[in-house]
Amino acid sequence: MASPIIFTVCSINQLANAIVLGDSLKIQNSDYHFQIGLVDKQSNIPTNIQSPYPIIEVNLLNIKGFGEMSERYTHEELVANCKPFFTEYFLQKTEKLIFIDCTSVIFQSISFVSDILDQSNIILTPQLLFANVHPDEKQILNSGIYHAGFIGLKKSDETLKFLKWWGKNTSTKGFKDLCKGLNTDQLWLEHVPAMYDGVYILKEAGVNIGYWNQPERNITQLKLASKLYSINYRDGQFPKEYIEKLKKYSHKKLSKIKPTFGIEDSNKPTLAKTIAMKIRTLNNIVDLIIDKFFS
Amino acid sequence: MFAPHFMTLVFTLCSVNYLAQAHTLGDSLREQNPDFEYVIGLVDKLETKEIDKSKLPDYQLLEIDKINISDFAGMCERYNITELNTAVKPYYFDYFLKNRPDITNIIYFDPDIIIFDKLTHLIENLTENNIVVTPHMTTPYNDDKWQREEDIINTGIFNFGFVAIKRSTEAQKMIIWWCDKLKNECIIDLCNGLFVDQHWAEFFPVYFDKVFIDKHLGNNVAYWNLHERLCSFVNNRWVINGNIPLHFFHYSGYLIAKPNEVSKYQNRINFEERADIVPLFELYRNQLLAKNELYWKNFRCDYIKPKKAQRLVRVRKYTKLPLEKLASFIEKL
Repeated sequence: MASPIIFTVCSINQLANAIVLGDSLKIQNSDYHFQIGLVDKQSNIPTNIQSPYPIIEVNLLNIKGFGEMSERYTHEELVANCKPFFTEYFLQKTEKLIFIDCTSVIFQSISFVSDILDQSNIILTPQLLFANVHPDEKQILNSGIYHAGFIGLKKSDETLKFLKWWGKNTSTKGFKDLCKGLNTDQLWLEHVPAMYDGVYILKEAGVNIGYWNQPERNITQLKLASKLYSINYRDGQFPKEYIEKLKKYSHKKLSKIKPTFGIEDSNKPTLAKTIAMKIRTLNNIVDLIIDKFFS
Repeated sequence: MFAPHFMTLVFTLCSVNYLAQAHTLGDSLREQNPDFEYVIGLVDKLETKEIDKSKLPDYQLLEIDKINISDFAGMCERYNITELNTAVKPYYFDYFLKNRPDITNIIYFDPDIIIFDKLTHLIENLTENNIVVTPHMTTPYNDDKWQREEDIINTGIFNFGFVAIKRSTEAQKMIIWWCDKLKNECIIDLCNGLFVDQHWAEFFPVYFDKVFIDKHLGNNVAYWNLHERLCSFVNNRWVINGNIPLHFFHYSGYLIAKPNEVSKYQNRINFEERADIVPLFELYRNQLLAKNELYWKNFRCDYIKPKKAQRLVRVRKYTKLPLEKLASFIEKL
């Protein structure tokens, strides 16, 4: 049997992150093959940068409607929405597959994931595990019960059925629009335990720790108990030691390379927009005053 | 095996205007499961109304102001009638857990449900699990009609017209947490992840142990899953897809005044294309009329609040104008 593959998906601007993830895996998961799905043109990688891990360019997948996806989605949305297609691609090469966000770092062997896959088709990782600990549970609920940054998959008819459905939704309805129940590839996962058989909900506090669940996870304690498996720095502050590792692979230089596919995010908060929003919040005091004294 | 010595209590929640529905549910339950106790939780007051007592259903009525909700006045102040009706659900569970030590299983059904079978399957699942929930659907829609797959995501994968618990530490933990959430945040605010009691319950399988997602096709059959379920009447019983017993049907959003519409909340399922469900709805309509729907539907709930009108709209607008202008200017920079 082919060894399990662990893969990530990114554009060139996060290639250094992906390589650091690969390095962290190699230390205690040497039986895995690590591969990088690239939503970008491989030829745009500066020639002096060599990835120690195989890179699969998105064009190789021949995703149906990729051209439209590229014109419709922001760079970030597009990377997320290509995930089901890379998953399908890698499942042709292996029986067991793990997707990990490129902003993650692995701290010890995750072979237990592979063991769980003996009995299951799909492994999902919840964002939160403990009731009433996170100070604002509804914001997490809004973005998804499950986090799309750590997913396990076994090659099976059921998994392939899931991937067809997931890919259909990410290629047509992969926007980030929480008011409409859309959050790229992630919110679709809500349906998975109800729609597919053999779905395992991984309740392991040491897996995929990120800003969204930090209030309920104690990294020091997990480390002491040898239960710290992975931290995901996505959308959060990069700590010093992580930045040091990124430096080795020209992160600064790579992060400035504009992705070939996808569009600019017009909703990205700019300084001007943030100030305008603050002024409007301040202005709403008028309502409070009127409600208090005149009603 | 079904253990008959375990006591099961079933309850529903409604206001007086929905008593025909609650009555219909109770009768269907009694017919199929006479050993289950049935309670109608009333989010309303009886003594404020002139009610023809002979029309009241012969079931226990438990008014909301009798179950000692700690901040009930605050909840009435904060919530509109839909929010209040859904927010009190875990508080009734809590009340039964505390005041009915003889009861092992507690099951909630929305009043607009009819039970078609013995609930043996459900009780068996409760012996193995702490909490049982039912998903809206178990297969994709493959169309873009209303409601879409993302609408279901926005409001909740599981339908909370049904939920069952077994007396256990884990279920108690769940009820306490759910009560806590619904005290202040049982509102509809989709942009912030809120949809009354239902969306919060998305956390059940990840927060609590032994939560069973019951995918039996005979459960909670309704417009949201009829795309995968064909109904037929075989050998004197209703079945799904030819041989699966129909456990309970949920007539969500059906109005007796609009008998040609399956539900006001959707446009996927209609009677023209789905002749199979027509007799199920005829049955429901006749049941409701027999249970005095036309009498009950006109009672006004005591907990309906007058709509808050915003005062001094113009004063607000002009007071805000200078800062709003500044904000728009900065935004364009």
